[in-house]
Amino acid sequence: MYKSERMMKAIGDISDDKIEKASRALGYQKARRQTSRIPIRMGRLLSIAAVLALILALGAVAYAANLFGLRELYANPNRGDMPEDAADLIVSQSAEAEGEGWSASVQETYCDEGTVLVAVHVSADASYIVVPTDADLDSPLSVIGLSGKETLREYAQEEGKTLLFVGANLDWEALGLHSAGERFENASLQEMTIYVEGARGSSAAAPVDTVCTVVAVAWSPEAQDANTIVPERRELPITLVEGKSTPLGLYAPADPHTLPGFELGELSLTQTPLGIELRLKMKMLDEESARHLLTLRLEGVEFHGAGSIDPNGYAVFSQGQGDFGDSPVIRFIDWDKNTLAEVAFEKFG
Amino acid sequence: MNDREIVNLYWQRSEQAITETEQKYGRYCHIIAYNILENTEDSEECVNDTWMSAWNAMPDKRPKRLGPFLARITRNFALTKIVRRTAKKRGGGEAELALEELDECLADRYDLEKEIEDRELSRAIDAFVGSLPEEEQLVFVSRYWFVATEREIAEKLGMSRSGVSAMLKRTRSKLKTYLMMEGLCTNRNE
Repeated sequence: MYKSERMMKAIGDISDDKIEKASRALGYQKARRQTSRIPIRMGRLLSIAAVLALILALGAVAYAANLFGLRELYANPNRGDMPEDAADLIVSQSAEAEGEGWSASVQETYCDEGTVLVAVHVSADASYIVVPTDADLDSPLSVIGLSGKETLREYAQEEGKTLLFVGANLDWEALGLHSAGERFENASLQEMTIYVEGARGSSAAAPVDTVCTVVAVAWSPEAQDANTIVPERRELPITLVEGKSTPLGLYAPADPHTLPGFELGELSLTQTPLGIELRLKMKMLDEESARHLLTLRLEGVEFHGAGSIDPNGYAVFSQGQGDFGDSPVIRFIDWDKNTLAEVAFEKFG
Repeated sequence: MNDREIVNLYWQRSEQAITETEQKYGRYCHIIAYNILENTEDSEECVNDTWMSAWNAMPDKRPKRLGPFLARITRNFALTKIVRRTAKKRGGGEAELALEELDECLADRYDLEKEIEDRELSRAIDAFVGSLPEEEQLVFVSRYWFVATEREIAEKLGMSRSGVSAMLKRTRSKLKTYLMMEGLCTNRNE
């Protein structure tokens, strides 16, 4: 089978809603009555904005004398220390797996209603340089915490070593994740910590026994020439224990139609061990108007976790720090960073 | 007649099911087949095969959305036909062109076939497509699911043809990187 045929077959399995949406855009099927479903674009806009904010908050990579745990993920001027209540919920894990000349172990996990954090340590033998999967062969050495003008490819060739690209992921479905990101910290050429941070949606199921999947790809010029580069995947079983959350209140918008293109519904604010979690029901009324919306801000609160709109039509933002007062106010921001609408909410439950 | 009623007819083994399906989805499935095959006769054959396949599938299946269910069947029949045709003579048509464009997204020698099941590639692509901005998603699905021409996509979505072409190129490049990061593509530096 041609590889493109395989791709076409795989593309054939994309979900029904994507097929229907494109068929309507092409005029192959009549447009349906607008439903309350939030468009994927909308979710992505918020998600991308929040992930960018997350990346900025994570800061620069630097070598350190030892491998890291989840507390170090928060030891950053932009993020502040991990709240003590959350730090107490960090669970040590013991799952390990071995690959061809490398090994990975889950060190610590954290889970609450809105966030899953996993720290994975990777170590390899001296023939490898361990590098993040978000780097490429022409990335600068700074991606592994070294100074120098060489690219990763050049440095590996100088050192006579093989680049080992390593990344980790979680089971999105089992954990109800709507977005996730990785951060990489090299402790040496052969040691790296991968932090995986997943943001959970409003339909998140109770945590279960799940897996953290580690993927490693060894690259060398010889292997490339011989076309023998093959990823290795290892599944590390983990058990997540969800920390308790406390409802802070249910709020209704003073005017549900203040934001163009949407009807706003119930706002739920919850205190998780990592901070405030916001969930806001947003029913899309007009797709064109909705496209102007980039993200939202809860006055008095800064969110450090990833944010998004999940498939059930909820805006979800997590890890907020601050004080929103008695009557929360949400500002909706457009692509030019202007305020589209400012909506006050009043408590009803 | 709504989809549920049509599906009920299939379950009751009523031949009216085919009539209703033809009426509601005949044009739709024909477009899908024609985009790929660029031949009326072959397209009609594909659509008839689709009705037969749907008849054989229900029961046991009870699709919640009949449109995508039928569209997938038609697309699969059309792709099977085009692959056979391509095996005889490669090049020339829109589907062949789409196939060539997608070739760049996987490495030359795809060694993972034995190791990674196809459904993992499907899952990854679905997630990737879901992560695209709406316009980019529509362009990608229009091109590689419906095999619409760049010209048609440009007209229907109000874009320039060069804009569609450039967007598809960028998306393919992102897909390649994404599949690499997912461990589904073996060569990082082609």
